[in-house]
Amino acid sequence: MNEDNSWLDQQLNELKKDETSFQLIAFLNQSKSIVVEQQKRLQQAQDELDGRMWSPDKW
Amino acid sequence: MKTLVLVSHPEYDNSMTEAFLKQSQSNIDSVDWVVLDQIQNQFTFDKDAEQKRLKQYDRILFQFPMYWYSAPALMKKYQDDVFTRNFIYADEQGWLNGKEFGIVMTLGDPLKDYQVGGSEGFSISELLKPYQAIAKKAHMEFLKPFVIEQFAYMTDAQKEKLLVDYCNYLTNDNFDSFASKQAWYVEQLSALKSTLSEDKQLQMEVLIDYIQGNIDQLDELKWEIELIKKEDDE
Repeated sequence: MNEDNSWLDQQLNELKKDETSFQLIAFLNQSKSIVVEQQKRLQQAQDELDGRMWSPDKW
Repeated sequence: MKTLVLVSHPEYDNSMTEAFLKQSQSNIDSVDWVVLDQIQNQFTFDKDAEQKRLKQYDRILFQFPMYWYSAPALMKKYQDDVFTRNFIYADEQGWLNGKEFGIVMTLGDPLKDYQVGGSEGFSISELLKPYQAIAKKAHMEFLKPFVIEQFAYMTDAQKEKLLVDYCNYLTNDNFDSFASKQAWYVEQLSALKSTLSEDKQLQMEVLIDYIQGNIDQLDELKWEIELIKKEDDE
């Protein structure tokens, strides 16, 4: 979580530059929310994996 | 998957919401958009033609603004004219058996009012029971409804989200699952890529690869977690 997505913002801004299609801009802007949700789930999954690997039952 | 959107709106030509939704799906080949107000003849529908139409689709959506806690009268008339007993009853001919049935409903009031304790007092799920009952009778899968609240007050960012979510509801097999939405999103971006200049196509490819990379990484982590869970069980 709290990943630095400035490269993504930059990528999206360049892709959107001079584009006029509302649909294209919508999909580009919303791709950020997909990425943010992915990053949250990746962090959760990594935390769960760490938690299970370090379970006191296995000590 | 083929999707049919059946729209009923007494002020269709003046509706900003309907114009927006129509435009949102206009370039999707697998979606057909039919306005009931334009196919009715003296408030009556051609039963045979409409039954034939419905048979062609996997996902059938009724789309309307909520009028007195229900659909506009023409939507009900469509049901009364087209939904004959043999056509609907799954234990008779049941032509809609196995198809999906969903509702796209627009609200002028805030969605938060439609719940126990809210100013309307009834939830959207309760108000949509008659449609759920039809789906049950026809052995259709009743989809989670797609509710659009107060379109007139939406910001551009909210409209962008609405466009994407609406297309997701119309064309994604499993629209309510994030796992499915990610894969669907990659498909959408890939299709949009072809509309871009050559330079931008490369940039779009980077974006698509990044999202796909996250999907793969997430799958890998889930697989490892499942493996540990299994070991713990044994």
